[in-house]
Amino acid sequence: MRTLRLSLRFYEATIKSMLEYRLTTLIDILIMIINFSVGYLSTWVLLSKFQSIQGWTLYEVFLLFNINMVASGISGFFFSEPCAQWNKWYSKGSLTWY
Amino acid sequence: MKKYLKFIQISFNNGLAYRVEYFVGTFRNLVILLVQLAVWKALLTAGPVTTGSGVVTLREMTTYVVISSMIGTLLTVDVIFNMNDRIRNGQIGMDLVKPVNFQTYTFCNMLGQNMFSFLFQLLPILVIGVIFVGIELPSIFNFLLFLVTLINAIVIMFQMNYALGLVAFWYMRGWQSTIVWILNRLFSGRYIPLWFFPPILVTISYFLPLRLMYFVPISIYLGTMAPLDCLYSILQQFAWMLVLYGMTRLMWRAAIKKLVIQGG
Repeated sequence: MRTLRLSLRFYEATIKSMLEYRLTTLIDILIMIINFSVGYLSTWVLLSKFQSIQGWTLYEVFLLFNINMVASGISGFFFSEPCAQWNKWYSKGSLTWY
Repeated sequence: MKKYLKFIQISFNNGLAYRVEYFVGTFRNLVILLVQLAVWKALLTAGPVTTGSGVVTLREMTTYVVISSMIGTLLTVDVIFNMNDRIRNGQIGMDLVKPVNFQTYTFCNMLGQNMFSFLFQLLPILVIGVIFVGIELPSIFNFLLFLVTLINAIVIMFQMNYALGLVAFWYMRGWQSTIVWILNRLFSGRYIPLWFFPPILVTISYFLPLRLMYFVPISIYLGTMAPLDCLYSILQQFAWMLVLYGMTRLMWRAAIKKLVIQGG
């Protein structure tokens, strides 16, 4: 319980520190929008040429893509930053800080 | 010159340091390659497809995918990431004190990484491609042209990344590499060849250097590009190199001035 509360505090702090730089946050959001658009666009390019991938139509592929995005969004919200930074901390030796 | 060779060697050795990272990376590359092969197989089993620029067969497409992943191992550079780091934590100051040209130094760093990738990542894919997938082999002339465009592609990729890395002098946040990565996925023909694109996207791709990095070398390898177009593409590559070189020089000069003002 204590760990949970502590984690929540850390989440709060991280989100606040991210929102502190408004322009940066906006650009980050914009980049994610571009990222997803490019994903959609590539799928559309492929399926406008071929109609279906072994019976999966454009709509169904989009649905799968979205489900995947929601899942990775939820997991990413909680775990992505430490996982992404872990190897850097390790190789630079800054793990000893914690 | 000697010191730069040393830099190349050091960065090559860095690649050797983390063995598990290497295996995981190679495994990841292979999985992505297999997924792509599966998708194209599903799409093209019904037979060749007619596109705006000719007929595409399954064999051609598998070759495309394998070559594309091979080029991909040489073109994933962390130049932007590195530079961002250096500029953010102030190491750039030490780099400036050293009697080396920072651009050449960064380039040597990338060359060392590339040699590592060539030996340990590209060659395995090539072996798998030749033995298990059965890729097409080009004519000697096409292969030589392919090599020229590939080397140019590496240089352009470096310059582009370097220019975007320099942006960190003004704006510290590592979004540039993400942008390159995103646009690269679509407009370079890394995953989907430009043959399948609707005209509007092809037109957009003509304004970006990304097309020259994957699509052009692979087209030349496959021999689907007319000789005159090859020539134009190589000229375009040199033009981009010149433009980017000039740009990075100007940016560097401005960046150094800014850095001095901050320090003073």
